[in-house]
Amino acid sequence: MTESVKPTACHPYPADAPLLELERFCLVLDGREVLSDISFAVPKGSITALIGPSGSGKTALLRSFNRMNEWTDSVKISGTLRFEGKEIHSPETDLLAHRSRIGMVFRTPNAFSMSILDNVAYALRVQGKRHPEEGAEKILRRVGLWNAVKDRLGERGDRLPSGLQQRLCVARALAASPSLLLLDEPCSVLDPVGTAELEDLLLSLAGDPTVVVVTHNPQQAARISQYTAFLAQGRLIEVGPTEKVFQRPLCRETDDYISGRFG
Amino acid sequence: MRLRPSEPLAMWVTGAFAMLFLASLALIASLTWSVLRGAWPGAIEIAQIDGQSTCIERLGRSGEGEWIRKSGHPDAWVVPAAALASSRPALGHEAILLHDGRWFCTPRLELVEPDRILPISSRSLALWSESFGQDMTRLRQAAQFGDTLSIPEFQRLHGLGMRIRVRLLQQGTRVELPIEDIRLIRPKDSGLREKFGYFLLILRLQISSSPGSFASITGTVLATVLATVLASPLAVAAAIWLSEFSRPGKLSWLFRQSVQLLAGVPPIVFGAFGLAILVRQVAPAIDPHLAVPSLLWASLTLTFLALPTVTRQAHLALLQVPSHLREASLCSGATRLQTLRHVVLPAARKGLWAAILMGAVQALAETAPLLLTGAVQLSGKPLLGGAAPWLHLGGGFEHLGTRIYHGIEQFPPGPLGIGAGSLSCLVLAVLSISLRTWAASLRHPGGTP
Repeated sequence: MTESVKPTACHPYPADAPLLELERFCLVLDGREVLSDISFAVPKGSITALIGPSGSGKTALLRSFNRMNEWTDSVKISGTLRFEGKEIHSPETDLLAHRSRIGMVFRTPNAFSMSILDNVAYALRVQGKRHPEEGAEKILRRVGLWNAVKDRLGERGDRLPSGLQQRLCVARALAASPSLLLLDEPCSVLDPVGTAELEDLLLSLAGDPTVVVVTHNPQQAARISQYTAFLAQGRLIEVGPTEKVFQRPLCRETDDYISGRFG
Repeated sequence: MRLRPSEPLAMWVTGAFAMLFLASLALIASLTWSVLRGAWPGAIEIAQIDGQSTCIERLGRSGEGEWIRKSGHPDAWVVPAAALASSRPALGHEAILLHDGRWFCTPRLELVEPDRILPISSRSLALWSESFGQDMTRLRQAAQFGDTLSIPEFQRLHGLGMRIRVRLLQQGTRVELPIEDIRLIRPKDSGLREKFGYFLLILRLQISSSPGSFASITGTVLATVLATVLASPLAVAAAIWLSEFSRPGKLSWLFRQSVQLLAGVPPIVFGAFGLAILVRQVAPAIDPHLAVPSLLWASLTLTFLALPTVTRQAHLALLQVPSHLREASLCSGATRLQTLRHVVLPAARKGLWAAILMGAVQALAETAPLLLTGAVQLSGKPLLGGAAPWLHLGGGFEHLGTRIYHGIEQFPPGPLGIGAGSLSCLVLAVLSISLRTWAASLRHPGGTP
C-alpha cells in the first residue's frame, strides 16, 4: 500500500495580492527531488520565514525565487512559480531583469573586494545606471550603517567586521530597490548582538521590500516574521501567520520542531 | 595533567619524519661539497694583465709543467714555452691542446719564432715542412686532422728552434706575456680562507669575463619572460573557461585531463617536440632562416611547458573564490562577464599572479628542453641592443642551466668551469627561490608554505 502524502496544513491568511505564488511546485536538482508539491503564497509587504530542519529544502526553495539553483546544478521543475503575477520560468522571462528585482543576502557576509561605496553601488552599476553612487547614502542610512562608515566609504568592504559587513550586504541587496529581499540564514555567523541588530534592521524595513528569510532558528522566525512556512524533507508541512503556526500548530511535526523536540 | 596516549606517539612520528627530512638535506649538502671538492683543481695560474688578475686554466691536475690553456676566453689557446721545456714525458699526456674534451692541434695555435708570428695554416706548415722536414709533416697532419702529438714530438719541435710564448686573447685584444709572469697557486694545499678567496676570485673572473655569466643571465631572464608572457594569457583564459563558463561534462573533463597529461610529460620530451616540430616543421614554413634552434623556439618550447602549470594553478586560484560571491553578483543582476570582471578576477587576483609566477619558475628551472632547442655554450652576440628590433630572437643564446651543465661536466674539471657552474647554480637558485617565495607570499599572506 502506498503511503498517502499528507497535504499541506494551511492556516487561513490573506493572499489576495501575493508577491510570490507557488502552485504544486516541484524541483529536481541533479536528479534528486529536493522540493515536491509546494503550494503557498508570500503576501506583499510581509516578512515570511522559511523554517525547517537541515536538508528540508528551505534554501533550495529560496533560491528558486530568483532562479539561482540553475546556476550551480541541472534543474528540472514542474508546477508554477509566479512573481508579481508572471510565471518566472516561462521562456519570455528576462533572467537578468528578474534577478535585478530581487535582492539576496547570504549565510556568510560576502562584501566584494571593492570599496564600501562601490559595494552599495554595484547593482546599479552593472545594470548600467548613470551615477550609481547617488543613492548610496540613503541606503546606508536605511541599514543603519551610515554613521559607522561615512568617513571611510573608500575602504574595502570585505574588511569590515562581520556584523557591519552583513549589513553592507543588505544595503547592496537593497540598492536597486528590489521588490523582494531574500535572506539565507543571514545570522548564522553573527554574534547575538549582530543578530539582534540585523533582526531590528529587517523589522525596520517595514515591508518594503517584501522579505523572505530562511532560518534554522524557530525563535528568530517568531521574533521577526508575520508568516511562517515549515518545511521537512522537501515538503511544505504547514504554513500560515506566524503566531498561529507557533501557538496552535495543526501538525505534530511542526509542534515537535518549534518546541525543539526534533530538528 | 595526563596526556592522551596518542599524542607522544604522534609527536615522535612527526618529529622523526622532520629529522629524516633535515638529514636528507644535510646529506645532499655534504654530497655537493664532496663533489665540488673533488673537482677542485690542483693548481691555478693567475696572471696579472692590465693590473687585473686573470686565471689561466691548467690542463690536467697532476702537477705543474703541463700544457696550459687560457680559458678566460674560450677561443684563446696558450702553450707556455717553459712548460714545454720542463714537461716530463712521464706524465703520459699524448695531447697538445684540449678542445671539447679532446686534445688536438688547432689552427688557432700560434707558434712564435723569435722574430715573427706564424699562425699554423696549411701554407705556413708547407713552408715549415721544408725546413723542418718530417717533424713538420707530423705537425701538419695534426693540424689538419685534429690529430694528436705526443710531448716528446713537440719537444723535438721545440728543440728544432721553435719558441713558444704565452698568448692571450682578451676581449678581442691580444696580450702577450712571458711565462714568468704567471703565478702558480695551489688552492688544494692552502687553508680554508685562501681557498675561499680563490673561489671568490674565480667567481669574479666569471662575472667580468665576457661573454660570461651576464650573457647567460640575460638569456635565462629573456627566455623565462618570453615564455611566461606567451603562456599566461592562454593559460589564464583556459582556467577562466574551466571554472566560470564550462558546464560539467565531457568537454571540460577532456580539457582537465589533457592539462594533467601535459603537466606529466617529462621536460626533455617538450625539448624533442620543440626541435622536431617547431624548429624542423613549423619554422621552415614561416621562414627558412628561422629554422635553427634559437631563443625564439626555446621560449616557445618553454611556453608549452609552462602552460599546464599556469592553467592548473590559475584554475585552483579561481576555485578558491567562494561561489557565493559569484552568486551575490549574479543576484544583483550582473551578467557572467560582469561578475568575472568585477568580482571573480579581483578576488582571485593574487592567486592568478601566483599562478603566473609559478609558470615563470617552471620556465626558469628547466634546462633539458633548451639543450635541444637553442641554448648554446657560447652565443658570441648579445641578445639585447644593437640595431632594431633590439631583441634578437633568431640566434642561439646562453642559459644558466646549460652553463651549469657545461661548466661541471667539462673534463678535466677546471676552476673556471667549476666557477661558472657554481655561480650559475647560485644565480639560478636565487632567482628561482625568490620567484617561488613571491608566489607563496601572494597565495598565503600569513606565511605558511
